[in-house]
Amino acid sequence: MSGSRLILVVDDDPDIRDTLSEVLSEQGFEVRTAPNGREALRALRHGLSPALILLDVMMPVMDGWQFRAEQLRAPELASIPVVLLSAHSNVRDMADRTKASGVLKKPLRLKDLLAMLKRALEAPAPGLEE
Amino acid sequence: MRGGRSRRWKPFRALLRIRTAERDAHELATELREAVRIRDEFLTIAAHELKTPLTSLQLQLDSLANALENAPSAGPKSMLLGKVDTAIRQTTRLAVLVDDLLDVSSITQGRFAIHPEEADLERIVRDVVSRFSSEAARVGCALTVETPGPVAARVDRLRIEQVCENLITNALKYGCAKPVHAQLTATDSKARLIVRDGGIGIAPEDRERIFGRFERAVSANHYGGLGLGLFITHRIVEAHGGTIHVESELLQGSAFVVELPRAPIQAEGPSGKPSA
Repeated sequence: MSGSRLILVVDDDPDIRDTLSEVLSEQGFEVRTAPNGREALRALRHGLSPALILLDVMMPVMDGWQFRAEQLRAPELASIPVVLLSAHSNVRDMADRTKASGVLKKPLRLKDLLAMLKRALEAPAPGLEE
Repeated sequence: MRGGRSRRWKPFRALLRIRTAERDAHELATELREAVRIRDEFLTIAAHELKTPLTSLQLQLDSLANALENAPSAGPKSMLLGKVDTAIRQTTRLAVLVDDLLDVSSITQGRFAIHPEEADLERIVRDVVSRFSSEAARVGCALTVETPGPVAARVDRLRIEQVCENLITNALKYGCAKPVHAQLTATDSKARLIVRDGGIGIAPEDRERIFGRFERAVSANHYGGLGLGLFITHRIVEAHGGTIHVESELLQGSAFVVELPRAPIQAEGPSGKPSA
């Protein structure tokens, strides 16, 4: 990876966005947030270049599936690793279908979040492995 | 004449009553199915909604625990850490309850599915036992584990973790602070996990019933919980093509025995087993 510590958090719930911003900032990450997939895409197309995207699946306007499809269609964005956040139980299936670097099941523990970020930031994005 | 006409109509009136009763029963069954569907849909939505505040709460508590651990002063720090630890434990308990509600509604809606992959059962069992070490210490149970070495199997890792967690949770809960032992053994074709406690035990007439939904062998007034853990555990084991049973004696303890095939499973995905 580039060594960047910038994380883009995409979640429609303001409490989740605030909490993730806060706890990740405490761990030395720089954090930007977006309330849905469309806003996230807009930020990325305007030059935001995160090391990783934490992406909620169920969101209004543009959900995580649609965002991921758009991201993978854009060559300049496809290589940014994505970790999905989901309240669903079938998280493993979800990661496979979206070629995400990983999935965290809500509610999540801080140690699991940090371990996942470490793994995802060190590994190549699965979306490029074709 | 009137009496004769009335007698002629009698069979038709009886038939009409039967048809009306049949229609009422059909409408009632339709209404009941709809009520169950609405209940399950509500449970799914409620469980999802509950997870959002739980996510914030759990992350904030973890962050608070980290900050306290790194704080310099010793006196109030251990007291505060103790309080945060309790809050984290209760939040985790809430999260498990919400997961159970979500699982049970997906089982009853036929949406429950497993996603098998190559995994090491020894690692799964040892990891779960290790995670429960502080809870075992808290309730005064000696929790031990015995494994034969790596046991490769094709299983849904998260779901088998859930099976181990449910069985150990029950053993600690009903184990009367007596030792709890998890033992994994394997043949070429099967793996067997036994979780044994020395607690209150289960009466013979309850040994099948406890695997049902909302069932429990003890009074809800004495032991908390939704009565869903063994129901979900049973369904997960079944979905892997395995079996679960309990060997028990009242006041002597219980041994829950799970047997899983190590060979690949055919049924996968949402259309696969199981459905309720």
